[in-house]
Amino acid sequence: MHAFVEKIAHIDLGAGAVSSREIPAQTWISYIGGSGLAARLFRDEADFTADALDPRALLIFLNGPLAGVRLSGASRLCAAARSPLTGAFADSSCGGYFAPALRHAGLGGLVFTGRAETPSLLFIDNDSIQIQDAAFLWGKGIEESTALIRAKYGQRARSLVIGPAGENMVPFAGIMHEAHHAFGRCGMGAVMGSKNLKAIVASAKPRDPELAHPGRVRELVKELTPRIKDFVMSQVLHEYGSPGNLEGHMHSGDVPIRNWTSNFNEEMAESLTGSTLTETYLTRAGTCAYCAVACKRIVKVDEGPFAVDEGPGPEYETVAAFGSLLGSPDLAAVCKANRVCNDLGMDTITAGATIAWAMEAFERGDLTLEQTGGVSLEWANMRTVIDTLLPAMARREEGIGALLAMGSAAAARAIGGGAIDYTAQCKGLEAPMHDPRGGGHGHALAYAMSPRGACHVSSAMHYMETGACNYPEIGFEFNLEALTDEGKPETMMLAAAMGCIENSACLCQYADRTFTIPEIVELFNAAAGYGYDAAAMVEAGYRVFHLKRCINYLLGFTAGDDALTPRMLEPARDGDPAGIEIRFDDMKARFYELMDMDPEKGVARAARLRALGLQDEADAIWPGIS
Amino acid sequence: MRVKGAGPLRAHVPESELVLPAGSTLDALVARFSIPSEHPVVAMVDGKRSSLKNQLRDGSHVVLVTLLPGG
Repeated sequence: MHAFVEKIAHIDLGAGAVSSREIPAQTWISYIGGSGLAARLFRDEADFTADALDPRALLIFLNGPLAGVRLSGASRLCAAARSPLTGAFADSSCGGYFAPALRHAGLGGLVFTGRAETPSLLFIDNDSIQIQDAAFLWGKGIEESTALIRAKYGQRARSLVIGPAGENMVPFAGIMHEAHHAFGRCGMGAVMGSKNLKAIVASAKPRDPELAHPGRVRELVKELTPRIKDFVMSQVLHEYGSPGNLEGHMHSGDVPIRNWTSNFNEEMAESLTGSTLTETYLTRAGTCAYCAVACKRIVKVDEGPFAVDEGPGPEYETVAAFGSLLGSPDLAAVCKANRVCNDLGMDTITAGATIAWAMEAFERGDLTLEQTGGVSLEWANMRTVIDTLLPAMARREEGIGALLAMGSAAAARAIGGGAIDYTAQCKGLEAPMHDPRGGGHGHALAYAMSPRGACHVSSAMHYMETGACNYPEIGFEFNLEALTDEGKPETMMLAAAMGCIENSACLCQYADRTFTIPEIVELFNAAAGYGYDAAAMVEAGYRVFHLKRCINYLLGFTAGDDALTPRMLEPARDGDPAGIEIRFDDMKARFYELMDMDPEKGVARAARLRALGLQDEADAIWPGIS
Repeated sequence: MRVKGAGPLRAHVPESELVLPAGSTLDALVARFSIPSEHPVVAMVDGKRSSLKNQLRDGSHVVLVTLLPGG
């Protein structure tokens, strides 16, 4: 058996040693690549007694089997580790140009362990891999670091960099690529910082990857590219960016406002939506490698307190997290907060959500001026957010900076009382900017079942519930009503599998929306020689989902952690979904039943695990049970 | 009645005051605009989702929304 994939490099930063090895073809086929293969490697090689920032902890970067193929959406890269924010196994995904660069260097992934004695970077120069000194970058922001790397290693060099937040091990520090693309979620930047690893740089001569059937891959790319480009969602994304339908989402009650206390505000709907961004601050669209969509925003704010030079602009999540969630309609402030957060290297979702929670705590009197060190946390006080809070969080400054640098769940537990009730998170990961009460009740189930915590891209539920895709070949032809639980557990089964397939393939969930199941199967087979049929591919998706759930169980998580906070489940107070209750417990119970999962442990029963080939996990969790 | 398009539908449904024949449905209202058929259109009538089969009421404020996901 042969799979057309690349070798994996292992880097022991403590020993200063680099080695490489092949991963067996059957392992790639069983776990696809990306986040699925990362889960397999983590389960097999991580020390589960090590916390996220322990030198023994693993930090894994993995490509999918389509990396290097000139297909829209195939240039994402997965990072995986135990999350310092949640303690759970987590994966994070980043677009851009690093995934093809890695493949051009003949690598399918990187596995780091150990801690370098001094600030270091990894330099991949075609076939050579070296650990080098990074003192010249330490303490510097993302933009300056990225520019210095380019000056030293050349224009072809692609980099993954942490900022001050990562160096200070803020548990929601991200990793930035080209100062624009982000491994935003779950604190992968803090794990890099804990290893004294400031940057990873890849410089490789572009070359076509070795593929199983290169002619067929070329045909598929030729067939799929015009369809991706012509798809209405792609056109909206190109014209208006990912906030392109924020106004529509707001009218349906999907966009959380003022820490999830409101679901509708017409002023914010109009001022924050993508077409307003296009009309005001957009200078041009940006893109990832080989992409026909080009959804990224390049913006410039000429004047005012939030002026920013031309550069990376905000995504939908950032617009909502630093706009409506903080009660602010100011798009210029969003652009500035985005740039500051990116330069510090912090996840904009967790940063914005934690500040929103703090603003409500301040309003309620649960957080006092004494506790904030005299910083007044009124809603929409964007000067304070940008000038004071974000830098203080990245530096973990004593007082309000250190408190908010914990993330909302830990900060709420630290101040006590009922503050945890009005966080919006699951397993410690702040929810993205889609409110299940208005966006669709299936989102609530998706957030709870996502192995990494509240997340709308771990599964395909966000797209399936809103009718953006149908998969008749695997039994999904629902036309779902958003504000009920009807059909949601059944949908979530397939959504979980499809999300795991997409994230393991490292496919962009925008670009692959038009792909049919047979086309995805054929992409895997033509590019990597996996030999899938639809059933085998979907089974691999289920295998990855259940493996991640098993890892979390072995790390101490149970079904009790598949819970949303009272704030997320209380009926909406206004807007279209006002007063409607989410039947969360019913959906959760039905999903466990459909997935043959134990309602206490929150993992699949032994027979299901064994049927998926997860023998070791079945033995560990269900000893003596066949 | 007043009507406008939200988000990507702004370009297809300019904010306007309209007079429609009595008994007109939301479907008929949507048909007056050149909205690409790929957009899954939902009508918000006075802030609430409404079936496109429903009849319009005098004085209603209608916002046409597409449910395109993303972000």
